[in-house]
Amino acid sequence: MYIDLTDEQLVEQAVTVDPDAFGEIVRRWERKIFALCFGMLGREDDARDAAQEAFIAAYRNLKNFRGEAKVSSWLHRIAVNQCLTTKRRSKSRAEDFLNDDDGAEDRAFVASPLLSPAKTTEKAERMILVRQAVGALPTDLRQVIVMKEFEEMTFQEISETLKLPLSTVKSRLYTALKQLKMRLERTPVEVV
Amino acid sequence: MLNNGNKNNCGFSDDMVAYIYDEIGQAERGKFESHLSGCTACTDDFAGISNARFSVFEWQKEEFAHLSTPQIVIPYASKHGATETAGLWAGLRKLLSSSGWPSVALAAGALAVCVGLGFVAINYVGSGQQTADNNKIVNEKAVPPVAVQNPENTLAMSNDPLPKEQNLTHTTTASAKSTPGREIRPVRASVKPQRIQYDKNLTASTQAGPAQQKRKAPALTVYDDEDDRSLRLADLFDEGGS
Repeated sequence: MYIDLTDEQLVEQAVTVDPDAFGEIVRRWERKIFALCFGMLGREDDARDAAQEAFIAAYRNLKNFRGEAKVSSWLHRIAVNQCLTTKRRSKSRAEDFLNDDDGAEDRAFVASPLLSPAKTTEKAERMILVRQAVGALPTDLRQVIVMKEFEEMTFQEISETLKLPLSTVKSRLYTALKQLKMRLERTPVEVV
Repeated sequence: MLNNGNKNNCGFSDDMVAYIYDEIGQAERGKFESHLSGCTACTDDFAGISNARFSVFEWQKEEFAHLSTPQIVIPYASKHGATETAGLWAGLRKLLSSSGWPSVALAAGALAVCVGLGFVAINYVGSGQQTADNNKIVNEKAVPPVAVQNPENTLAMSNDPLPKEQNLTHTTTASAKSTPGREIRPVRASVKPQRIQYDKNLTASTQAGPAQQKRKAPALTVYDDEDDRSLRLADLFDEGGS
């Protein structure tokens, strides 16, 4: 019913006639907003709470969306502000999460045990896409991704291992993530 | 604000990845957050790379995190034995971790064992040296019976015009030379203490004539030059007496 509508059309419909249209917005963007919150907060539970709060705030401010920016940018802005608020609330916990063993455990992404078959299938397909996208990266970019995500090395350790300047390591990682983003967006997985 | 290249136009690309992986300094963090809340382009950029990073993170957790190191099982170790060892080890750890007399007693026991091992090691070294000495003595004592076991030689020596000591030395040396694998030097050294005793037996048992008994050399000549056949004081007296 809502599949053919753009994000902006969905917002307009949700404001004017059908509040349920916002559900389609949430379905389309929940994962990306959660990933953004996870990138900002570093903890899965905090990211879930922040994403939830961000969508609630977006729904409450639907009437204030003037269409000057894309819905995605509007949602991103709301999510970023929500994350900053969350960080201010739990500043000490966010600062120590790398040094705290419990924090390190909390950072681990725990898949929901109540995934529907459709979600499970979608997830499996996404894993295949990510594997292909990582495999298609140039060697120097794939190297830093693997060292960072799989070996869990710090930038300094990667710099010493590869004998590269610290800024080069960060730049390579940024480029690798940008290329991954483009490759993953090229073959989007429809959320069921 | 952004291009599709490898750099963020606002100049926050390095801070962005450092922020995502929580490896950013406090000052840079505040600066980046202030900028992020006001820059739509950087917000979208940050959302994009956060999503990409989360995809890799999720993939790693889904496909690799559950892979654990296989448990190594020693096939010849029984389960009961393994449990027992674990129990003993756990008990030992508990004992070591607990404070008080058990730890002291254990330390004293360990010290006693060390001292005992050291004592055994010293004794072992000493016994090895003693064995070497014993072997040397046995080698020395092994020579005289060679000379004693030849009574014919000793009987023949009584008719020899040379002094008995020289004959004995000569014979013993000869017999030592004839024995394969023996050196001359230890044979000569071993003969010296035996010579006097042998000399007495020889004079008592061989029933030598009185002239030969008179020609018995003084004891000093026994220990001096064995091959010295020069004229001796005793010989002068004998000649003078005769």
